[in-house]
Amino acid sequence: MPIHLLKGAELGVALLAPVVITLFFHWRTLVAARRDTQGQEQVR
Amino acid sequence: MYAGHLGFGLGAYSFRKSVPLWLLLIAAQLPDWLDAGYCIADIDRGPYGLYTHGFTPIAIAAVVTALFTYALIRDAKGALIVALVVASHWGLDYFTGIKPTWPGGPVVGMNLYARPIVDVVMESATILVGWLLYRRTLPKSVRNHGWTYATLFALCALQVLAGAAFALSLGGHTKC
Repeated sequence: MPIHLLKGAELGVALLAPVVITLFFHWRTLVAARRDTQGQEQVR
Repeated sequence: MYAGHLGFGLGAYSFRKSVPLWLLLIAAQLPDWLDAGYCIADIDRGPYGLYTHGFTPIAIAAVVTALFTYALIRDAKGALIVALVVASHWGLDYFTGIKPTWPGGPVVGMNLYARPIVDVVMESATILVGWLLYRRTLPKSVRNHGWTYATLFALCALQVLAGAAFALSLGGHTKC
């Protein structure tokens, strides 16, 4: 595989990693918030 | 700058929740994505990355991204914030690297990459400020949740790893 493809792909992965991680944790946080709201409604 | 850009994107989210978080995060990194695209297409990025990190390409990227944002969410203020996030890339990179300005113009920057510990501290501080702003957008019940803190720690950890990798390859490091 040409070196420029490898370097470009390497850079793409390095850029994508923090985006994916941040969005995953953001999604998990929102799920936790929804569960908390549902739990409070059930208590009521 | 690496993960610090994500910190800026997180902070910008607190100013306009109508803008999708993924869009702000990509916007914050956009000139680096141009680098990746140029690398894959085997196109010259110009001296010091002038064709991806100079004033002109960043201004064009900011306008195009703002138009895309407006088409997506029909929110002019949101589109302006996304444009500012794209433009912030140059400002943040000024601290960490040596960046081009315009064709024939000076190459400027504080080049903190040459001082990896200072770079990690500065980028982590940027992440922290952005994360604190982002945290304010979350429901109170989850502001101290583990997943909320995981975002902060993961970004800082990635920055430390990237800083170490960069420091070890300093001098021989090229993007393409």
